[in-house]
Amino acid sequence: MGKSVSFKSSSIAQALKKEKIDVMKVEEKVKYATMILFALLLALSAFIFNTPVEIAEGMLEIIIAPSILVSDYMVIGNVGAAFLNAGLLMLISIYLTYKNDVNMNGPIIAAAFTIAGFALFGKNLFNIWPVLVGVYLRSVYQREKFSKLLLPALFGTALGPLVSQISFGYGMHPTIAISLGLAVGVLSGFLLPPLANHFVRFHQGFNLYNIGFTAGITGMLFMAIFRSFGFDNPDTLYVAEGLNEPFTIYFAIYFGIMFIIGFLLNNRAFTGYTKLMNYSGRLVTDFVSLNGFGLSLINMALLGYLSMAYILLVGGELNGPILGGIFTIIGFGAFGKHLKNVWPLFVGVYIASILQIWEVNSTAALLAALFGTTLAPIAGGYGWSFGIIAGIVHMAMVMNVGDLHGGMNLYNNGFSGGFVAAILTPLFDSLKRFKGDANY
Amino acid sequence: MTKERMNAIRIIDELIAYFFAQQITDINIDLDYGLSQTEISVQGPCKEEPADLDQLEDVLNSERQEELEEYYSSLLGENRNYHELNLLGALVDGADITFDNQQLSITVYRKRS
Repeated sequence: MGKSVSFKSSSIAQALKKEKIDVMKVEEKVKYATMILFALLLALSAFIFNTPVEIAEGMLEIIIAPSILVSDYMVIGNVGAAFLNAGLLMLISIYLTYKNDVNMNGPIIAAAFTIAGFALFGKNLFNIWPVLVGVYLRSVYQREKFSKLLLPALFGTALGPLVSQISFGYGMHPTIAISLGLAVGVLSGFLLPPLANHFVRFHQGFNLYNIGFTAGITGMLFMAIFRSFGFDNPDTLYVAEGLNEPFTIYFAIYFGIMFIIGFLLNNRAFTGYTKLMNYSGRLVTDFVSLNGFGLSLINMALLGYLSMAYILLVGGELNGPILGGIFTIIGFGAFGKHLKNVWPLFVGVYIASILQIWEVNSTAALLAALFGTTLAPIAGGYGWSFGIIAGIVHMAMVMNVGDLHGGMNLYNNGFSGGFVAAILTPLFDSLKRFKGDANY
Repeated sequence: MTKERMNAIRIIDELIAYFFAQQITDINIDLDYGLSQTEISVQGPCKEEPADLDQLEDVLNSERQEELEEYYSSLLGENRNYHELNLLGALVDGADITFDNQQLSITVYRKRS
């Protein structure tokens, strides 16, 4: 009996995933300053690629674009405008976090980088606000502080294209279209928080992009209504090409800065990284509070290099959507993803691309590989072989679910990932394959 | 039922799951659902001190993270196979944990916000 108790206790200790080794504490103002630095780097880099006049013109094109999947702002506007848009939206996220007195922890970092990434292909200064206002109204309605709803608000901007498509894509009178677009955006934001809290149970936290699933359901609802009135979305694929060389250099430097800052903030060491990679990454695993901000930055930078390397090795193009995927992985490097639980998903999607009908370096397959890492906790929790299976299943699933919401939900892989996790994890559990704290 | 009451139920669920994992089946639960804070105390006999008690104390006394409540709270106490002790730590303001005379006692406090 004593042995049994001891075994259970060590099992729980593993579940706690709390390091007894010293976690380098970093002051909030340092975390905020670091995040602002990365946002400013993005915003100011705009002027490397384009002139101020070109950027201004590009920003206008971006703002009036329908923005449904897949709309590369580097094509619709230009590279500089896309970078400025990404930097500004990331700064807005950081500002909202600061104003609501929320710590710069893992989920917030994930949200800020995800917003920056999707600001390269779908989110802009026009279409994020109605969703944010909708979530704010929800907080007023529930008499809750907005800080409690900050995460669904930030991630909920995935429904930005819902606003833009209605406002600029259906050919209605501009006044009616924009009014309706804003109203539907506010309504969707108002609906999101309770749905997000409800749907997280569906996949038991194994789908990191929880709002992706929720927004997919919400987008599906609205799309069904639009289609019943004769409105439908066109197949859209705008992606930039021929930018691999400048972007490889640029992001190698960008990730390098991230790595060096992380190294310095982690007491000039990699202490704790092996431990970090032992986490399954299942929601809620906040690396910043568990392992420290510095180590999280190191992890984020390494994930950035790995993701970029995958794209280049399979002959893919670095453009808005692909960089958006890389940025999202970086962000979730503070909130569940690490080298050990991400690579099986890459391999799974790669194998699927070989076996199935999609080209391995097509935009869709590359996006499936990058965003398929939403299922990283499956690899972390059940082992790499199960992660590969999840990647293969995800590849097939993600190609089928996008039509349900007509590209209105930017986190299409999160939508797919919710289904995949909900299907696979009960099956894996039935085989008693969860490596953590099972059997009680 | 109010969300705050649901949160109290989920916290109790999670604590019971922890006690079961320690093979403790004779469990006493005391809930004080006060106006200013909720206090939940769970006790039970345990032959050996759980190996992770210090870690548990650290986790449950870590800073409360209100921004996680509305988004992730429904994961708490939900699943048979996974612990959510980190999430539990993010939803409570503090905890007292003792192990005396083969008796494990965990009390968590959650202020109204």
